[in-house]
Amino acid sequence: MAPSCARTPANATNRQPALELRFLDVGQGDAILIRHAGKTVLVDAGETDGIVTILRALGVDTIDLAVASHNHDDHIGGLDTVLQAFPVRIYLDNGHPANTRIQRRVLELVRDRGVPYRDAGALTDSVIVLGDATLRVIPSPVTGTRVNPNDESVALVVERAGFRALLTGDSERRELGALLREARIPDVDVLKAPHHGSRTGVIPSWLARTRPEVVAISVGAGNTYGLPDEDALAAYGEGGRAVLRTDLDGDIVVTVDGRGCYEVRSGRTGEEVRAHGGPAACAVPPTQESRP
Amino acid sequence: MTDRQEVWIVDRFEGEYAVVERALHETLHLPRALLPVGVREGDALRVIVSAGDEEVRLAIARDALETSRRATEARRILGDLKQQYPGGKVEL
Repeated sequence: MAPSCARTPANATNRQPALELRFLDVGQGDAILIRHAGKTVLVDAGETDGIVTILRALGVDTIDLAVASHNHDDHIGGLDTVLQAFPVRIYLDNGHPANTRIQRRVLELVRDRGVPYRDAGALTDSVIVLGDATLRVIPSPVTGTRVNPNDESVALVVERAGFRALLTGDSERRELGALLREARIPDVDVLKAPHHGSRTGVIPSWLARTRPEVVAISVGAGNTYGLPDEDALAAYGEGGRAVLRTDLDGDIVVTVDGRGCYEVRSGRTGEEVRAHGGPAACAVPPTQESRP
Repeated sequence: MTDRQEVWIVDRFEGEYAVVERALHETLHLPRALLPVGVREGDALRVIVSAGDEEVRLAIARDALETSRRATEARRILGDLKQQYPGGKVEL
């Protein structure tokens, strides 16, 4: 992760349109839209069919890759309606069965519609190319019986130039610890708080390793579970780190240009930049060559 | 009192709450203490609903047979997909 720097607009110095990560406000659940180079990736789909309306309003007409981080209803509850509403080119999950009706429905739709399926744990190449950006798929290293399904979440690292964002579904301490031991986790600019800002999704060594400048929490207003947890919020906010929450901020939108310069905006504050950063080049005015 | 039977599936636990799937796209958030002590995520629950004019009684029991049946079916569908699309890479 590069240090923060004074900024020039992340959209203004890039021949390609910005990479966009959008943490969607879907209530209590996760749904993250990633768009770049004409491709659209949806990571989880919240709990309800409301995701379809949200995606249509954003101009989505095709999902090139749908990812289920794990198979809890607050992550895949809307995926069946997504599969019915949009062409989905590839479906990727963690390869673990659940006994619920919703997982069965989703998998039956994948099968019946001929959507190519990928098991994150069986990929021979974990890097997915999106123009000049990449998604790196990290299957959970936690194995065995009686594993908490949250600790079977697929992790994704989104990279463009020096920029990195880390998405880890609902991973809790066991998976986070295992990922740290495998040393596969880089430092990042943007971290999605695991498990909706739960205290089980944050450990000091995780923050020490990932060193995020911005934390995005997908969480529903007035949720039953008291999330995000106050101690977790305090940990995320240490050192003046920017913490945005979908329950308070609406959609959290991160745009990244070709130099890795990023800006963070939120649905409730429009064009106001809530956080920004990137490599030293972000402080330099754009050259004529780099102007769009 | 009239009785009817339902099958609920434990989707997950969130702290002191259990989220159970009563039907497709219908979940209930229940205090964990209202479920049998040994219940785990993925378990099927056989629920007898006895509804009267003044009260409703729920009898909730873990159904090991239904749990096993659903697990077998889930593994079968997933296994078929894995067989059809083994390994590989994701090219968008």
